[in-house]
Amino acid sequence: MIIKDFKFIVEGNPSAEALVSPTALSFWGGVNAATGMIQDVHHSLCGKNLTDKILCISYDRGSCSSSGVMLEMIRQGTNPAGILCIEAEAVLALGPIIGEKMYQRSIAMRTVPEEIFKQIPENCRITFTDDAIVIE
Amino acid sequence: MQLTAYEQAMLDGAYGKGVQFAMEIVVKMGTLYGAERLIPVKNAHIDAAAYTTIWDAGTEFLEYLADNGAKVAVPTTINPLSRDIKNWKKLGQSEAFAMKSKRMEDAYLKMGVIPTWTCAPYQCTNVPKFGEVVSWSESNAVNYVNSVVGARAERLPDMVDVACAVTGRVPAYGWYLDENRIGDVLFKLEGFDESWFQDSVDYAILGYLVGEIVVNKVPVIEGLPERTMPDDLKAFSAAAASGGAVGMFHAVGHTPEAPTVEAAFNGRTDYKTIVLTPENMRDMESRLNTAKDNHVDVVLMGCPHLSADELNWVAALMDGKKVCEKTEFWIMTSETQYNLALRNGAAQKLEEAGVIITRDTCLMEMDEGDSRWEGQNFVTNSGKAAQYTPAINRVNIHMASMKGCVEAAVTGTFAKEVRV
Repeated sequence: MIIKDFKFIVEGNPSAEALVSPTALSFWGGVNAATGMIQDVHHSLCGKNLTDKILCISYDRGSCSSSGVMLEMIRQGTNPAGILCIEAEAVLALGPIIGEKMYQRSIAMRTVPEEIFKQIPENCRITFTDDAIVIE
Repeated sequence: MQLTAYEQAMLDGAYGKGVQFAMEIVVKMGTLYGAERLIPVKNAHIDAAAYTTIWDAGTEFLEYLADNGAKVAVPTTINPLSRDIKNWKKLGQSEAFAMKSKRMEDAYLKMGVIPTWTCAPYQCTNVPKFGEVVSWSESNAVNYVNSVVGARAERLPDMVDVACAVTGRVPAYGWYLDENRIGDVLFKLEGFDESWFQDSVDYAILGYLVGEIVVNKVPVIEGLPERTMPDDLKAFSAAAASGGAVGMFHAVGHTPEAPTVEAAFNGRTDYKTIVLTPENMRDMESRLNTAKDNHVDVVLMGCPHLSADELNWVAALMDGKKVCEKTEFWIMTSETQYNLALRNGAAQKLEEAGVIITRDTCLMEMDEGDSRWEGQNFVTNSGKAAQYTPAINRVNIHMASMKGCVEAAVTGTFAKEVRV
């Protein structure tokens, strides 16, 4: 599957195994910044490690502190390689943007319309290219 | 984006490197969300105060700003820390961890914040006016001042909240704009008799449920009883911002932009209607209740921080009783509310009964990753704590009313409260 209908939030062309969930996630409380482990017991990806993966979640939710957790993950190198979601709330997007300025490292982030997001299969590999999102 | 001469000068570095970095973040964020301009704000509340929310990276960020001359531009209050400033040793916090908090506190004090260290500043030191544009963060507080007060706030991410307080500007986007404050979905409460909504825990469960359904849309709630109080709406705000990303809601007849359903939707008629019944509430409550048995290790109240009035109520319920030996009863509040409770004797009464009252902090923000609470059963009246403590502190939950919390603390056993 090749997606052309997407929006850039944060630049970057990673290629990695995907972690896919229809459930919104709060990075603060939901993810351990030191290990990259998803620890929200109410989330379908609980127990999975998102380091170097491409995380596909519908939306972010909850705490305003998720940007802080994401910045710390960038500092420690435990961050996902990329994030694909339906809407990038500011809380999700700004950690990577500040990370770029402070540590010259970031998390590539793109958004797709809801009907396309729903077609992403659970087990897949995702590649962000300059003009597409390739799902294999 | 259109900048005024003053804003452009901040961006160009005329006011120092700290202000310049802050303005770069504000402009970047505004550009990302399609803002055409920035709006001056009257006051600010910063979320990014706990070490366990922004960690070493966030500390480096704060110190960069503070060391480069950045100061807050408007009256700015701030969220709970990762330590209780007076009692961190007594509460069993390690020196190394407490000092990480201290490092952040010092950076903030250098920038000129009002050291409230509370997540409910709207109940003490920072009370915005209706229609006022403010730079607020902390999900429960954004939801409360937007919805219950009718001020204009957005869910600013941590660190962006600091950048906005320093520049005194927010991007014109989201709930700052009239068109985005209109309701999206109507929730009709049906079949609730007098036994419901007598206690803020019902507002917490309802908030979590509504948040889970709408995620980031603006819900309109119809059917809350006349007796709904600000502390109840505080519980709803916090839970709706935890079960989802709700930062703006209307409660018909209770919040200022919703005297009627029509007003909440500003004449729109194409909205979806969802009916909520006691059965939906019971189902939500059972999903939040992750505890497997009825023994109680910790009773936790104060998420968000308790008001002086709530402290008074809990003290009245604890009258003549003691916290049982095998159970800890934690109440979290601010130094300001605590001092009010000292003046009417409620705080002394609670402490004599064995209650631990923490100030400046929050049990979730205090977790040093040392498994201190792992596997324990918590009883709480907070939907927000029910969302986050299982993940952060690795505990199990029973939801209870204020009365149920007190009984659990006194008996060490959780008794399910059955409504008619």
